[in-house]
Amino acid sequence: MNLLIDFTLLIGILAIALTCLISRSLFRSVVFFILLGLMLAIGWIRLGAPDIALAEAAIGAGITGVLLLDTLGHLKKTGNLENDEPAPGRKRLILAIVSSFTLVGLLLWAVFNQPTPAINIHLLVTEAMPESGVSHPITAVLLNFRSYDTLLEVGVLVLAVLVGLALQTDQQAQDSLPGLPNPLLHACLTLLIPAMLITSMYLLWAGADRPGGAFQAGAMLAAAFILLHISGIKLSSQVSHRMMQAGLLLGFGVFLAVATSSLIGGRPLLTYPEGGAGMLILLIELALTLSIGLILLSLFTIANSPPHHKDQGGDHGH
Amino acid sequence: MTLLMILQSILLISGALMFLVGSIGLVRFPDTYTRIHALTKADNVGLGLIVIGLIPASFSVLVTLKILLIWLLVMLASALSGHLVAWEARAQQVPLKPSEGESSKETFSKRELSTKESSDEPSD
Repeated sequence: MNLLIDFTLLIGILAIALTCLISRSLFRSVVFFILLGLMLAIGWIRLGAPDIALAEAAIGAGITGVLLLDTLGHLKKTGNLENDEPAPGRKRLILAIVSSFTLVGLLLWAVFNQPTPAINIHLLVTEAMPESGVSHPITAVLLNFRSYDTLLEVGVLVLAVLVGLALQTDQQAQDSLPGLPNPLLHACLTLLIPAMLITSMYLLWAGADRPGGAFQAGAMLAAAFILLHISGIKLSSQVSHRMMQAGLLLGFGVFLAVATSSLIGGRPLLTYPEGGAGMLILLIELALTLSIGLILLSLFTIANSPPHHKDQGGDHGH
Repeated sequence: MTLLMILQSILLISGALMFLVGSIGLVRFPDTYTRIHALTKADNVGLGLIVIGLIPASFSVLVTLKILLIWLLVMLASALSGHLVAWEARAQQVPLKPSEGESSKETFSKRELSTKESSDEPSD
């Protein structure tokens, strides 16, 4: 029975990915891409990796999906959407099929010819767990044993948003979205936003001993911010520009400060003092959550530069 | 196979059927408004049946409260999104598909009249 579910899931994922790629309508492709993210999340759960499932559902399907849909709306508004692109040539199609099958073959070969690992990482992690300061192995790996990777990942995110901000011109700085003047939406926001904030903090807190953590909590926070943004309540007009910039850098700054502060005590980079690891990890994750939320929001708002044509939104007469 | 399990399977299967009916409605119905009708209603009932079917699987108060909360939030979200899609469709004047004997223009203006009379939302 479980095998049946897994095979159905596998075929579903492949079919949806294929539909997403070969669909001629961009809107349909985007919808199938979101669907693919949700199916992949279920796939990760079946593989026993709820942490990745959470991240995939929140960032892969949710935030990326909203970004793509928003871009599509933007293209439509500016009239830059070309729906009738020519079908790819026969030669290119054959090349694509051959190369993708080669890749699949290589990957399969790699999977079946895995060398036996010289050290048992699984066992190492389990042994070192008491010293890590948290009781969830994924969080321990991400923020203690392999925190170097996470630090660089956050650095990449900050870099991406800095490039985005650099590309933004002054004229684009004003938000063009008129917001939806819908009374029911605003009534529901008062219910939904607190629930989303609580869920975000819960995910952060739960990360210490359960699936969850800064990235998932940050994505949830970003979802709340983006929902507010779409509804016409601009966060950027509530807080100053400088505060926003400080918020974007806060997570990376705190992480870097904690990482280098161990050098003062004569210990190597990125180590935590005896007994203080749990507290420091929570501090880093709190700062990271806020920053990731703001970074994802900024990536969304940067994309919202005003269209070249006259803005046609906001004419929702009653 | 206990009685409880039979009850559970009935609830879960009928919930899944509800989703199926909603999806068929989404594909088969002629215009945006009727499609929203099919999707939001059938899915809420379907999810409700599945949630009720899942409660006896754990009998833990915490889990029960959590899945009931999920049902509530999904209902709120789908009611809101259904409303927003219909609202936007009206703002863009997406026509109603004509039923037999009526032209689309007539149907739309008729519907507009009736909503105007009954609507009590403040204009902003």
